[in-house]
Amino acid sequence: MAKPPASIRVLEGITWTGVGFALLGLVMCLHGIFSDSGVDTRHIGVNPYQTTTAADDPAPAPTGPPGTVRIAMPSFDRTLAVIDPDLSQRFLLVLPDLLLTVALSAVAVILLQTVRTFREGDPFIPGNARRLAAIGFLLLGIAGIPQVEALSLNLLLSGTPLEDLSVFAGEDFSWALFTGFAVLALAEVFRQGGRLRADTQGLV
Amino acid sequence: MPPEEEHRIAVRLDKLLADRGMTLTELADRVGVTIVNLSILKNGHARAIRFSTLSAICRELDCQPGDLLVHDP
Repeated sequence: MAKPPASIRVLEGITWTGVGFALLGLVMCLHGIFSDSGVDTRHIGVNPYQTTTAADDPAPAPTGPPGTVRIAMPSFDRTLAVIDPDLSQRFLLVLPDLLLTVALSAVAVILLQTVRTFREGDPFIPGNARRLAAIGFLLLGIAGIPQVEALSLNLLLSGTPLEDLSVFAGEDFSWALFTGFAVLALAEVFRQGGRLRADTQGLV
Repeated sequence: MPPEEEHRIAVRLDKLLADRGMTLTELADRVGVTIVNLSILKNGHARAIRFSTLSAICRELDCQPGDLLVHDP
């Protein structure tokens, strides 16, 4: 087989790096579940306006002598800490990251398969359209991880003094929603390109 | 990619060539189409034919498009 162009080899190298990082993240998540650490923490969001156990007045009216400068907006960012968590608590804490790394690993592997077909110089094949569609749906799935995180946090806090906290995911995955739709559109481009190529192949 | 759509168009290139005592190679030279493509057309494996190719074949074989392509029900 002829040596692929440098641009393709660079692309393959970047994708291999992505696969490596995704698998490393996956291993770290699994290590987080099964390793026994003293305190596990997670960055979360708390809505003080819907939380009865928060400060008495989450957004106090800014008062003070003229010229006083203060932050009126209450902070939504919190860090949840679990002391000596058991296995189920560790699993719930790591679940969103686990889902993310599993999905990103799958995306990276499928992307690598796609990039390897570029060596042939003809990317518009039906397999690539299917692969890109799979990547698009995986990205849309990533966009749903904050809902899973909110659910896992509520399960984690149920039965504890923090049960009434209105918690939500600390991370924003809206990028995955837009990227997912963009990749699905690209998959349709590849599908149409494959049809055009097939048509021209039988043209005399 | 969708499965190849079926069609019922038959190509009578072999009969026209035999009637005129012309070889596929000779026709390919005259028409300016590769023998591979003409062979694809002759064997019924073509999915489409350009009007320019059809015109050239009809010109060289002195025939009408209907003599070359027929609907085979």
